Amino acid sequence: MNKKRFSSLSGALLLLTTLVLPSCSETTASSSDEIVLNVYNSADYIKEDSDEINDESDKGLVHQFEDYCEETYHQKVHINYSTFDTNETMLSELKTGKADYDLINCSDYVVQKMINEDMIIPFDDDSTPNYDKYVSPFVNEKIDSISVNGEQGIVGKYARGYMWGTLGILYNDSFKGLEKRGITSEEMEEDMTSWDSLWDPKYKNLLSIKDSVRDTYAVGIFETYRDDFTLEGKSYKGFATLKKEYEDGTISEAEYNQEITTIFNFCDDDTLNVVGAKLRELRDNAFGFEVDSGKVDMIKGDKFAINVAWSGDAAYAMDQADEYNASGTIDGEKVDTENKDLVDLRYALPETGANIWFDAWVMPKGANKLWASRFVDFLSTPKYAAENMEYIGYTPVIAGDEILELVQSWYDARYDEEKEEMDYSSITPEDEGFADEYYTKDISYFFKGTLDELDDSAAHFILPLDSRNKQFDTQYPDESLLPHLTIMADFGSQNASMLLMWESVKNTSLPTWAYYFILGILVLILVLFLLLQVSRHAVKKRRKDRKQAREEARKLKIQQLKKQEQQKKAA
Amino acid sequence: MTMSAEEKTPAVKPSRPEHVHHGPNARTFIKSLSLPFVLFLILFVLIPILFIIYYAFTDANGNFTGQAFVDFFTNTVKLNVLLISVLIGIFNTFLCLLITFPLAYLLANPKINKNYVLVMLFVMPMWINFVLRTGALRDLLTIMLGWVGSTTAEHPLLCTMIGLVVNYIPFTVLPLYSTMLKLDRSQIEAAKDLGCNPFYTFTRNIIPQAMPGLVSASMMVFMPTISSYVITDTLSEGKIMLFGNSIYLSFSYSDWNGGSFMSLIMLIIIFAVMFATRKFDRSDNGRGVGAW
Repeated sequence: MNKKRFSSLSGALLLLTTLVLPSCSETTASSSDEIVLNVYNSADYIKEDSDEINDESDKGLVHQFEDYCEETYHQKVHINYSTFDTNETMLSELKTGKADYDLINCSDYVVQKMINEDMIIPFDDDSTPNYDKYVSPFVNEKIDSISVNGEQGIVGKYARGYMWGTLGILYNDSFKGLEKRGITSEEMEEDMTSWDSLWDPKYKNLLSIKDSVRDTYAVGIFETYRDDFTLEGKSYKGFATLKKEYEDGTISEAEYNQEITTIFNFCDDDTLNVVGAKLRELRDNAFGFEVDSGKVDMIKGDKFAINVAWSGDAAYAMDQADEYNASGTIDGEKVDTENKDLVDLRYALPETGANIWFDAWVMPKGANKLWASRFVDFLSTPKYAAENMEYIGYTPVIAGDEILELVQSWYDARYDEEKEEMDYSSITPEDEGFADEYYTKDISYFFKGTLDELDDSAAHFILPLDSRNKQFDTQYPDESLLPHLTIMADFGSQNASMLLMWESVKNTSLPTWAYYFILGILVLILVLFLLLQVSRHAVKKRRKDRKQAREEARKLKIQQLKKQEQQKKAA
Repeated sequence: MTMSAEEKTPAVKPSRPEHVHHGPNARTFIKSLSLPFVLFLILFVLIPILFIIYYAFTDANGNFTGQAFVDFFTNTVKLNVLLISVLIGIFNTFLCLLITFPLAYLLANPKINKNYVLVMLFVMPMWINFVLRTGALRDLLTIMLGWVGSTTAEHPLLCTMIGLVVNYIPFTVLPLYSTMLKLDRSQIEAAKDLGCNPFYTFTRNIIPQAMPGLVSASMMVFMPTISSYVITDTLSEGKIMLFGNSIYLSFSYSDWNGGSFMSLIMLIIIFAVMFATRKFDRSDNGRGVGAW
């Protein structure tokens, strides 16, 4: 579930690329003492070389790893790095045996699918010491919560996490169309904490949803099963009821999360039907579907105000919007300045449940285990994970000092830009008027147990009030929201039905009279055609008859003439 | 090969090359010129079609099955998508012809237009990447609909139709223009002189003469419209699904067999249309009069 599903265009080349790809992956000739590692990742999903390379840190992580191996293990390693567009493309390449890789990066549900279909091999214990040490306990717990064939904790054996994030609502509360509809920004902020608002007619044509089955299905099922429901004669509690019970303390956090995960992963035929109907309503309320163009439209702020978005995209869009507001440019290009300051992007995670996802590294059968593990472990070192995070903008599953320092430098109000370090005493919660300007946020849930020199208190952030629901909250959700986050499993055998449901959501049906009208026209054309044939036939027949009559008349005349001649002769 | 051919052929007068008697070698040489094209056809047309047929009648494990066939014809959603695509295809073809027919007629009239550059101007949009063009059109439509207080989201069909017409007009200009150049204007004049009213001149004379151009222009628009998906995706904001979108969806979610079967349906439609219009194509040099 990452941003790399986009580019509907490139999918068209799927057939072509699969024919061409095998030759690509084998091109690099290697000397016998050089180890070649084939790595397959989503496009733009790792730090690449800078345009100008002055020192080691300007290099991309792939090249840094090659240098690192040379230095540490005195071994020449060549990484054969290739990229794919969607998990589905990658899977079908792998299944048809057209691809041969040592290490693949894919989404959570794909890991599950691959384990199920026995396509990947587990990592050895202790083969990735850095990962084991620095992976955030919070993410690790989520990874272990996925069960494959009823077996829990198995995903952690087969996969090593890479990036993680959530699916939520990105909104622009200073969108110009809102005023006309009388929607204030406070009201909107309130509304966006619920999926229900996407169905609200007051936001009609102001929201765009993802053109991807899994993500939109997630939104649909949160809404469909918000209230209590019955399924196959059994009654279940809805998301809203469960939330209330959790808040009352009737059920524990673990139970609550277990329950919502169960409901969230319903995908039987009955559920598909009701969710499909709900999504058709959503489609009618929505501005449209998008996969990739949504961010740019949000940044420009001229088409819609709400976008169902992945957290990484949301953070990227906010960065760009800030730049746009400051200078009237996007990516250095001048844009329409009339809309300036109209873009104020924020991100919300609905409290009745939201989707959390992660991408992970897996090793297909026949992979070079040792070096693949070493590469994963290299990427999991906080220093390099921080470089990666800075470059691609997604949040790594890795915690540790370097990551925390990087996040502090980006967001914490106490960071001293000149000294390039934290000045913890500059602002304290005890200061006068603190609450009017700042708020505190504790994300030690993420860094617990991974910090070397810093201690957990460093993960207590102080931030300016107007940065609420901005980048920081997007990348690291509030601790209070964590119980509401749940992972979406693979649909398994329901994949085909899911596709049909999706097609019915996107299908445009005509009003019933139109079908009769078309049928009428078709019948009319048929009748006309038949009539034409009949009349042609009649004309032909008449001509033929006339011709025959003429022939006969001529013959008769000839006979008469002959007779006359004979009579003359006789005379 | 050319050398030997020339040596063997008896001396000929250079002034009358049409009387050259080609020896058997020369003939094989000329035939061999078509080899690259035949190779191209086999590699990039025939083999892919065979692949499509193979996938259309097998399941995910490669066993022979007619499941895709049954699935397609029992699925009202897919059939509906096909119906809508055909309707939009017909409508788009009609609009494109309606706009380009008078245009091509004027452009081909030497009294009105002496300049070929003008024709190229109408074809020029084709030189710009069409994803780019479509993206630009989307922004333009947003602005224009904004003037009347509306958005593209409220008129997905209108926006899609505008996008389709804009994109496919260049494809109709050229074939129509080239037939119009060949129009026998004396016939039209004669019709006028003999007292035929403009309406009948048009329906009984100009249209029959232009028929080959009309047919090839329709072919250039109708089928690509059905299978187009970037335009609908961008301009209808994903709200209108054509057959092309449906096929793409199948492939992108790894349903190769279903997707291949739908591609096969497309192929069949193409062949059916070609079969139905074959007599118009042949009468190209007969000035289309025989078409009726």
